[in-house]
Amino acid sequence: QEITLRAGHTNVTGSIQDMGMQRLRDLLEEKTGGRATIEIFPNGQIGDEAQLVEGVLLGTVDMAMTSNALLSNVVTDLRVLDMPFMFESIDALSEALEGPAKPLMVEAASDAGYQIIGSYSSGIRHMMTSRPIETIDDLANMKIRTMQQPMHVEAFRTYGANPTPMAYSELYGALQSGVVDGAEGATSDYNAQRFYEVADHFSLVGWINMTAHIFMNKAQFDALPEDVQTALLEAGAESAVWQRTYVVEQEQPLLAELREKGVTIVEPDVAPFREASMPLYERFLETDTQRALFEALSQ
Amino acid sequence: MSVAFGGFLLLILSGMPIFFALGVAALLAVLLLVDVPLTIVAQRVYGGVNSFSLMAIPFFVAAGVIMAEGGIARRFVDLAAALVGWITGSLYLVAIVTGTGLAAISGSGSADTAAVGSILSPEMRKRGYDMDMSAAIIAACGSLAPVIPPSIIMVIVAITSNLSIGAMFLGGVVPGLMIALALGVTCWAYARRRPDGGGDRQPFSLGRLGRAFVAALPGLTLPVIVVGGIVGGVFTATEAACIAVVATIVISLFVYREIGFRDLPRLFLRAISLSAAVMIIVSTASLFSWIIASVGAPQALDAWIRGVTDDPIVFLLLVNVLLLFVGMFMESISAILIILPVLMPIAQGYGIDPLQFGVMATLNLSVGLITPPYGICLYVAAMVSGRSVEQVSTRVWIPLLPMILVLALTAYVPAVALTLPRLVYP
Amino acid sequence: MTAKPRLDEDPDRREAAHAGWRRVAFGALAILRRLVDAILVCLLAAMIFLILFQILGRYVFNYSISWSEEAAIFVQIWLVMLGAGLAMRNRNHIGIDLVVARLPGSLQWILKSASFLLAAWFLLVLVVGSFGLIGLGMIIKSTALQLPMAIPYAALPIGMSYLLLEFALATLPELAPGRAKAGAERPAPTMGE
Ligand code: NA
Ligand code: NA
Repeated sequence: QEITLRAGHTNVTGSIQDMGMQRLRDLLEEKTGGRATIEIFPNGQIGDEAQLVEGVLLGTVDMAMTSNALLSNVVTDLRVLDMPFMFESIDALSEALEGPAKPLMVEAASDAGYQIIGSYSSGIRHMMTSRPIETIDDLANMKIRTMQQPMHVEAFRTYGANPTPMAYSELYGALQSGVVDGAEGATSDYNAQRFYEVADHFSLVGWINMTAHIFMNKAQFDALPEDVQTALLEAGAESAVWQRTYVVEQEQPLLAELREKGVTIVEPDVAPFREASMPLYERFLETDTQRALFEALSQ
Repeated sequence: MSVAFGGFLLLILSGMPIFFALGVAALLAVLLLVDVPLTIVAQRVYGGVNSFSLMAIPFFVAAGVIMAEGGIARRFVDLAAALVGWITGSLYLVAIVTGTGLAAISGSGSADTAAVGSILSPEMRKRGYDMDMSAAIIAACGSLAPVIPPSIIMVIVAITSNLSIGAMFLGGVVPGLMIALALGVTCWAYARRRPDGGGDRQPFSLGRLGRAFVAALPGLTLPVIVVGGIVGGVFTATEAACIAVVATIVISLFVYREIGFRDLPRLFLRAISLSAAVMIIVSTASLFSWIIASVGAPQALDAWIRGVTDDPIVFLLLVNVLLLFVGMFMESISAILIILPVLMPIAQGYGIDPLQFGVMATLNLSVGLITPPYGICLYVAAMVSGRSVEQVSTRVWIPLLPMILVLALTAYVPAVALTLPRLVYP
Repeated sequence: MTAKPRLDEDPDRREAAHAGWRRVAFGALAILRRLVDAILVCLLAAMIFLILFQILGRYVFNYSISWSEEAAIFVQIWLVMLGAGLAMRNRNHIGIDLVVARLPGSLQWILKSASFLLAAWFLLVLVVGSFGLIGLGMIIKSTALQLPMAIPYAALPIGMSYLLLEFALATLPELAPGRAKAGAERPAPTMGE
């Protein structure tokens, strides 16, 4: 083999994300006749998401897959993707990502020195709580763990909750002991981290439809042989389509599995949440590129 | 891999501080084995301390340092002496009881060791205890922290292996209490044969117990605040560590009045110095584990184990020897992150319950906290007792024996780890 | 061949000038150490207040600030990086002298010099490598505080340079000519100060 790219991500071995990366590797090998391959380091073995985002620029890792949230610490224009109620479903997200927004995203990333290889779904985020969230009013004064992102904190403040930013590693304990009354997260994480043991109501609010990008250092990508570049981009897009479809297919069986485990699945009216989120767009979309990207994604 | 481990061993033996040895060995391996810019060194050293959970270390160390001088520790020791002073080897037992109690508050072995050590080791010295044995016991008490819930290591085990954190926590209760009991019996037997200092005992007096209890009462509210706060859902473990510092300051300054505000900077500096020495090791260990993972050591290990045996009993033996060996040299959290994802699927292939395997691995790497040459509880205990690591290492086999006995029981008798979690999570 | 020594080679004068420089150097060192100590005490106090505010915010004011945890982690990074130098000054760093102490003096000297050079090399790589990180950190903002990441990253070169200084001060006197034997009796680690 002539080219081996070292790729890091923080998802568990065998998770949907990891399977997507393995598919990417297989497709790349297939398309290049084995001339190029990817060595995958899962589990954060070679760095957490922040380290991976920086590592790609510093050259300490060739390729990474991280959440859009972390990548947009550098590529700030990409923050648009994480706005609440941007995409109704993962299919809508897929459509938007492959549509007119794609060149804008790729350009924003390459201005910061990244080449985006593909964009995966990391699921739609709902609310896990000790009491059911039937309407937005049920959130009043509930302590909800959020990420330490100003937009997330503001969103939950707008919804009437008492947002409580806290490290992810402390969440299980905090839910168990009642330090917080709930949190938000994707169905797959709710299941994998066994949060249902300590917060047995799962309200399908779907407030954020999260993306995870696979990306390389732009200069390093450009230095690859042209056919390998093409193969990488094709493999990236194909593995992303497969991965997003897989996430969609997994959702219903996962919810059924959770119901069997004793979780109460609640389907609240999301319209009030959507409405309450609108002022956040004014506040958090600051640059022209962000607005342009927003327009393109909303088409 | 052999470059990193071999280099580390050689450098440690040359007398270099351990964090340098880890760093230099990893740096040599980076240069020789991978084609990566040296910025990785800075990136990983930064990443190592970029963790909220680590914050419990400076907090609990500060609480321990202030407790030791502010009068709380002395009254604790008085009370403990009134309580179990009539039993041979009383202070060892006090250390074990305190260590078990603290383990139920904290998830960090080094912080517990610092707390128990800074409270008890001055008194042990005063009463003529063998300080090397004392430090070894204090280190063993600290190593209970990851076994008895809450436990940072268990959270990581559960997350990497897709296990229930609650079930993991419960799985550690019985083995943890068994270790505490086994340590107690060991110390009692040791003190009977070595009566100098360790054999001390005083007549029991109910009046003295009552007076000691009243005197210690303000300090006794501390575990109530911390444990009650966590169990009652008032704050997280790291926040509880912070509350412990604030409460010790308030009690020492305003209740016992044994120290004043002007003593605080001096005590803070002592706590910072002690905790920085421990945390900088976590930092360079993070670089070390990066190179281990980068050269594909986990995959090589997988292939090797599968080639050696197909018998689950031999496999468990092999895994325990391997983890004990790894635990000698490596920081436990990195060890879990690197090795457990490799071992867990193999274990399941042999029909071993993943929960039992997770508890066993936690226990094993907790033993690693006191095994030389690199064991963070061993180091902290040596430091707070004013002894060198090699001096304490000559006694460390005494608490190691009962711990390894309980480890073997957990490995080969599934009920030890599984009974309690099965009751709650059927 | 008994030429008179030139004025600037007069041993007494040289000794006097040397002593003067030493006084200045040690004065500067004392000031630096006091400064480091003061910063460290403030950092630990800040860490306590940040977490305390996080708890109070949640219960008393019913309003959580989004950045207290991130700020506390940044403080922790500075605390550890600067504190490593303090730990070196207090000889709190953990190492194993068992083997090296039993070796003959000359071999000890060689080993100690070699490990000093290796460790100093490691620190230099760390300091130089951190410049790349700081360069990135000028662009990248932290998640919650939106501070340039260069602020926490700067703890690396500053803290590790100070550690190198304290490391040299602790080690070089042991390696000075004629001191090889004395170097074997390093004091046992103590509770600091
Ligand atoms: Na514990
Ligand atoms: Na060890």
